[in-house]
Amino acid sequence: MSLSLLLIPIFLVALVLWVAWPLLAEPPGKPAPTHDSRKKTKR
Amino acid sequence: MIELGHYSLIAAWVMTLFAALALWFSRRRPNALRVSGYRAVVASFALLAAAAIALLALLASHDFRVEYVAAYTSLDLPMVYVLTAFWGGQAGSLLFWTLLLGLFSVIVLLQNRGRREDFLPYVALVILVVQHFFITVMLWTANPFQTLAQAPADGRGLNPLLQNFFMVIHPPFLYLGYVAFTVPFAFAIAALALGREDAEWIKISRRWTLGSWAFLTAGILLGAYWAYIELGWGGYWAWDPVENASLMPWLVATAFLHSMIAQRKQGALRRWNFALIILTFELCIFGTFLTRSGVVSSVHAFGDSNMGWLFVVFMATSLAVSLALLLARASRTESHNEPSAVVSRESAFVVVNLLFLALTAAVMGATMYPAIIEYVTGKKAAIDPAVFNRFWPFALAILVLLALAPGIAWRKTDLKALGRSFLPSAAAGALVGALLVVFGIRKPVAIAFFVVSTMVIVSMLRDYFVNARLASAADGRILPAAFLRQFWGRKRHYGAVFVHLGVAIAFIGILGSSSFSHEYDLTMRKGQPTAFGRYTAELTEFSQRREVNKDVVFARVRLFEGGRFIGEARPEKHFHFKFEQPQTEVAVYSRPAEDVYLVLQGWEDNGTVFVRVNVNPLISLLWLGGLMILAGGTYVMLPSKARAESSIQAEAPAEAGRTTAPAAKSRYFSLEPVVEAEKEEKR
Repeated sequence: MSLSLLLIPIFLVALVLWVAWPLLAEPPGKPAPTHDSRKKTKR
Repeated sequence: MIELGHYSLIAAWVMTLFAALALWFSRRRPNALRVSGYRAVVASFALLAAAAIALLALLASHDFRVEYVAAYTSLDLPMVYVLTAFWGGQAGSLLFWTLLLGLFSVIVLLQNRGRREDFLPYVALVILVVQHFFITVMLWTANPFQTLAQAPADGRGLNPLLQNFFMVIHPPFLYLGYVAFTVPFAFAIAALALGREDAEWIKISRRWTLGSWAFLTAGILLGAYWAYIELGWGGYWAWDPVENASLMPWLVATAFLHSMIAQRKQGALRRWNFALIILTFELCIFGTFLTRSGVVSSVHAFGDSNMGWLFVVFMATSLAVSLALLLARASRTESHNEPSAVVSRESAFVVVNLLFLALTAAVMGATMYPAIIEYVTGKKAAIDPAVFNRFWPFALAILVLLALAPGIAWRKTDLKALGRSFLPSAAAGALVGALLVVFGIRKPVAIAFFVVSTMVIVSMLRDYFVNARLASAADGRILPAAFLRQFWGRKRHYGAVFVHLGVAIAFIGILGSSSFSHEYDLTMRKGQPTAFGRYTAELTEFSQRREVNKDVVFARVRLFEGGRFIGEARPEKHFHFKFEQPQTEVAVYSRPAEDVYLVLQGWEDNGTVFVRVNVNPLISLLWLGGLMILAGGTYVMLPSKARAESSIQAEAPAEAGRTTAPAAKSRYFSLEPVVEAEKEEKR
């Protein structure tokens, strides 16, 4: 019980940090390294 | 664990909302927000997985403080059922639904990340909206982590009818099918939103569509088999509202599977395809709604709850948004090809679509009829299941088209060639019909189905044979080798042919078992053989035993056919300590030609035992056909090299809006694409 109560906030904070990291690391609006399938298509 | 589950669900609710917003605001260009949105998709799944683990741990530890654990498990329940109670009840199955959707969203992300960045934000967004809705329903009306004010010493336990292997695996398969259809739906919505009405979305989501369909098929078959061996009324399909709820999306999805070929190959039926996948998705949600809302009474509905209106709002909104998108793109979704001839594969697909939709509408109407009558008049109403059997002409018409299918070509069909290719099937059908009449069968509907099923089987076998012969002539291999090479090289074609064979065989099983089954009520005493039909039954033992959670009364019956011992059957009746209703355990003595199905009805103190026997002819063909449908459906999903090359050739003329001579011939029969592809390889 106490262990799980301790783990929940750690788990949640870790997840939130991981999700928010791209936003914290660089300001929004800057293109991330992704590709457009229309430019790079094998068909 | 209760806290872990509860907070994980709340966090997943927030996370899916954030992911949806992040993807919406980054849908036009890839930026850090989109990356964060993708991560939130993965995080949502992690949170749902945490909630699922928490629920499993609570179930396994018999934590009866939790309402769900107390309602569906008990201390004496075998552990496998304790764990599978995860999807046995309302709240748990909603969590399971959402968990699967979370898993699928992560798989879609991994498959398309960096490759389909145009589609992906929209696809993920649609899935997230559905996921968010389900988490909302859970938190609002059916939280699996709801606690009781006072924990009982023991739980109520799982309904004994559900304590069966097939019931353990039937719901997951059904849910996999229901949930996975969200993915092709999401691709369709993404295509509409992007204004990309070409066949791209169909190609990317093809395996998802086939996979969902296969899972739904397996789910329905497993459910039917469970009903057959567990419910004890001798049949496998009772036209129960919840059964119909799974059949309706299956019918529309089957239409879509065919219709999407027309778009892939000929660029035709675009609006049809969007409409069909939207309808499939809505029917999947409707099926989930029907099971949970208490709108219709059913043997396996979860009963009344106030979540019905949430589903109604969601279905209405999602349908309105989807249709608005489709209408907004109406001018662009027009097929840009020249109209095809009246007798062509394209028009055949339209007829197939119409037939499947008509069947769906009929089933929907009859299923909802009692609910509508009750709503209007305020009086309870019911519908006779026999009404559903009157829809047989639709199924027969679909089978007739299936028998004709191999001879129907894209764009324009030469009627003489169609007649020639159909001649052997028609002859075989006529022969079977004549034989049945000669042997005294006087059931016109059954005869019609046997005749048409025979035509389908001959048609399909002829397709195998003709193709193998053409291939053998082209490359000089012996027939079986040429056939195997064809079978391996053209998986989509031969998988489909195999599915169609399975359909015909299943229909023979359905009609055989429903039209020619016999029911006998036997009164048996030890040492006194009782005759029924061609068989004789002899009671050798009548006794009872006590198990952990129930008393079992059983009869041991030896079966003879024409004086020869063929086997032993042991029908049982179970008296669970926690449930008042006794439960019959059917004994099925199964043979290829017919099943002998025994149900222990009752007994007297003097040792007289009452057994009901159903002799169900040809029912094993239904299960065989079902397995073939599944096997063929899985086979078409495997990668096919020859196909990839031939499809390039096939699409070139279609894209240009004209037809070359080979493409105008029946592609179902013609080998040009494969032979050409092989020639290319050799060069």
